[in-house]
Formats: sequence, structure tokens, C-alpha cells
Amino acid sequence: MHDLAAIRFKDDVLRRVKETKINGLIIDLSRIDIVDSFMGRTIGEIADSAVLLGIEVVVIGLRPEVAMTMVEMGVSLGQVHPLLNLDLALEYLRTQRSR
Amino acid sequence: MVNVEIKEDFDVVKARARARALAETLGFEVVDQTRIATAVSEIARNALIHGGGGKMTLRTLNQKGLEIVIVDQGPGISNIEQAMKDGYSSIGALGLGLGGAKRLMDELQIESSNVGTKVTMRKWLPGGLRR
Repeated sequence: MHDLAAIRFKDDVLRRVKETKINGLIIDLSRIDIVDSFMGRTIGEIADSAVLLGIEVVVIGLRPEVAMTMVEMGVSLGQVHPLLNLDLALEYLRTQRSR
Repeated sequence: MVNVEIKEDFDVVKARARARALAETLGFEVVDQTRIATAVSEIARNALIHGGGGKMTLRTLNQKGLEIVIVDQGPGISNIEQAMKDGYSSIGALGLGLGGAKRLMDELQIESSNVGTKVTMRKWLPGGLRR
């Protein structure tokens, strides 16, 4: 994904979040083969904006090599809850909602 | 030797894809391929944003490693030491680019003047430094 695509993605997600009444947002990163400082910041901005709107954000599908590179770089994703897969993410959001 | 012109956003994607492909051909594991592609992404973006575009050159080092050179003709980095520090950014970004790329690679050298910047990065295959 190039930088403009990442910015477009952020804008699209935040627009949809505003248009629809949702309480959870799951971002699947399984197709993303690198997260550099720009990509990390963009995902972090999506997550932090959503959290400010009262929406829980979960990231799934992060590849191990991508996670390792992010840690070495010092890139974080903001206020997201990382989980392994969609089932766990849905379960997590359900529990959060019922609290 | 592979050359990639960096003139627009998508060229950064092209540059990191080329670097990853060569790394894979050389026998780098997927974690190292990812480190290399990520470092290229950071430095190529710098060349695009701060240097107004540039060029990446890839070459293999005797089949034992990979060298990536990214040059631009921008105004240069006035304080390299400061630019290498985490958290420093001249454009209000994360400021993890240069320092992060250095951590991901085995070697990273910067030459910069008021007529441009040249970043040379190397990654060796495990055992690649041994003769």
C-alpha cells in the first residue's frame, strides 16, 4: 500500500465510522507486508480517532515478521488491541460491549 | 544492478518490492526481507519528501549481502546526528525513519550536502561477513 492509499484508507474508515453506528472496528493487516513509520502512524491515527469516538479498535492478522520489524523500528499502532484472528476479535468486542 | 527512479508515491512501493525480491533471491529469510523492505521504504520516502525525488540502486555484495544506495538532489540534511535521533522530524512525522532504518540494517551511512543526500545501506546474509 502506498502512502496516498493509506491516507485514503484512513479517511474512508473514519467517514464510515461517522456514517454508521458501530461500537467496534477490526483492522485486518494480514495482506500488509511492511509497516513502516508512516503506515504505523496512519493506523495509529485511525485507532486513536476511533477510540475518541468511543469505538473499540482491534487489529488482527499482523504477520510475525512485520511485528518484529515494528518493534525494532519503535513503531507502535496507538490505542489498538492486537489479536490473532477474527474469531478472537469478535469475541473480544462482544465481551467489551456487554461490560 | 537494479535502478529505480523515485518520483512519486508509488515508486516507494516499487523500490521496496525490488529490494525485497533481490533479498529473497539472495537467500535472505523473510524477517530480513521485511527489515530490508521497511528500511528502503523509510529512506525512499525521505528522498521523495525531503529530496524532491531520487534514485535507488541495488547491488549484491559478492552474493554475501545486499547494498542499497538511495540518492536525491534535495537541500540535504543539515544536522545528521540530530536527524538520526528517534523522535526528530522536520515535518512533524514520527521521526523514526532514519534511526529505525539503521537498526533494521547492518550498515547505514549518510553523506549529505546542500546539493543532495546519499544513503548507503547494507545487509549481510547470516555468516556473510565471514570469509
